[in-house]
Parts: sequence; C-alpha cells; structure tokens
Amino acid sequence: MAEQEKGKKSRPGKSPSKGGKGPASPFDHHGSKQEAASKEERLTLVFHALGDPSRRQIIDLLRESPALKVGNIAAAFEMSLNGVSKHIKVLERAGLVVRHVEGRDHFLAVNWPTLELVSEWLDFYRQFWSGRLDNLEEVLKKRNEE
Amino acid sequence: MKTQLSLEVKRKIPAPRQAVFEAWLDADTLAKFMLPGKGMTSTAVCNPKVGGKYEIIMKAGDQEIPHEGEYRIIDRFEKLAFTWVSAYTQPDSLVTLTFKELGPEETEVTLYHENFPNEESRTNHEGGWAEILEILEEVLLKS
Repeated sequence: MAEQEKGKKSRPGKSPSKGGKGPASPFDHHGSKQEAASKEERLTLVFHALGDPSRRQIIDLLRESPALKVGNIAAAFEMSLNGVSKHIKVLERAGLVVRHVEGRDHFLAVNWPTLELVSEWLDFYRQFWSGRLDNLEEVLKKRNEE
Repeated sequence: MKTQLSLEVKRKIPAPRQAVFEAWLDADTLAKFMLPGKGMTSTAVCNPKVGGKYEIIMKAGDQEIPHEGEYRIIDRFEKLAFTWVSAYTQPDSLVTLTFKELGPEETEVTLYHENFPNEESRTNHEGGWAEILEILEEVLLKS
C-alpha cells in the first residue's frame, strides 16, 4: 500500500481576501487562483446586475436582437434615456453587454460568455449538492443498518 | 420551459423525515456527508438555532477548505434554510431545503440554492432566478 503523507500538517486553504473562508471555487479548475478569484468577482457584479428587474428586462430585449441602439431600448421601456443609461452602465461593468459605437450611434449587444459564467456556477453547485445528497443517503442508510 | 436549469436538486432518501432533517443540524453527521470527495474528510461545528452559525472544514490532502454560514429558517421537520458564504463574492447565497414525507422510511429532499445580489432582493425574496434561467436556457440551446 502506498504510504500516505501523514507527516504533513494541514494549513488553511489560501483565499484572496477574507481570511480563508468559503468552499472550493466553481472556477478552481480554470488555472490560477487569481483567475478563479477574478471570475468570482465578475460573478458578483453579474448577480448584482441581474438582481434588478429593469436590467433583466433590458437583457431580455437585447437577446432577441443582434444589437440595439440605446435610444431604442429607452423607447421600448418608456424609460428616460438617463435611466436606461444608468442601467446599461451597470450591465456593461458586469460584462453582460458590450457597446459598439458607429458614428454617433451606440449599439448594445448581449455578451454571451458572461452568461455562460453564470451557467458554470450553476453546474458546479448542482453537482456539488447532488454529491452531498448522495453522501447523506449513504450515511443514513448505514445508520439504519447498524 | 426553464425548469431544467434551476439550481434545484431533489433526492428520495430511504430514511424517516426527522432523521434526514436533523442530519443538517448535527455536526457529526454534517462532517460525514459534507465531504469534498472520496477519501477526504471534513470536520464541522454547528449551533442549530435560527441565527446560529455552522462551520464545515473540508480537507483535501493537506489543504483545508473552511466553509460557513448561518441558519435562517429551522422549521421542523419541513423546511431548513441557511446562508452559504463564498470566499470571494460579497453577497451570500441561500440554501433552502424542504422535506417531504413519502413514507415512514422515505423522504424527498429538495435543495434550492439561490444567490442574493443585494440586500433588497434578499428581503423581498426576489432571487430573479426565473428570468435568469430563461436567459440561460437560450444560452444552452445555442451551444
């Protein structure tokens, strides 16, 4: 039997800021810890951005078209240009939409890779919890048999 | 047509509802099933009351991955909710479990994991998941 590394002391897993708290990141398999951390940070922005119903509506509208002008978006929601612009800034900062300027027109489009990030998060946790519930079943089964 | 993407996991567990419920509030049991993977171990402490905290430390090799949260709802033996704190992201997420008795030795557990982008949505319980899921459905259909 291969020798286990029993000599090594366990030390807390490193984390970027909050003193080592939290589960393995869903993005851990993406190369460096920095990459994983930055994806998680982006996800925070994304969840915040999608937390507002108006912004979700804007995304909804955008995904139906290849690109839309800011003015058209405002018109669709009967929202002031100022109001829409504020929301769009949040969406841009989260990487959910991309802006393309042509002369004086600003076109916006959904940035699909960012939405895929959310999908990754969901996949990770779906698998994570699935595994834990499997374990729970095992543990309770064993207990019953004792 | 959005249900396939919801972060909801269901399981039928051949054990009484009370046992399945209490498993989430017992440190020894938590340590046994909240394992990061085969051949790994976990330790846990918990204060099983509303506002009480739990901590689970998953050990993979010589790395320790601590994890913690707070119990929000303890509704014996139907519903349990606790926060799940991520190292990197500011907003906590919330895990909600419901337990349905299918028989004296069979329980259906439904686990729902949602993210709260801001304090407001947490209070209003507006996770916004329904809309997010519609968007994602399209992403997956495209790929």
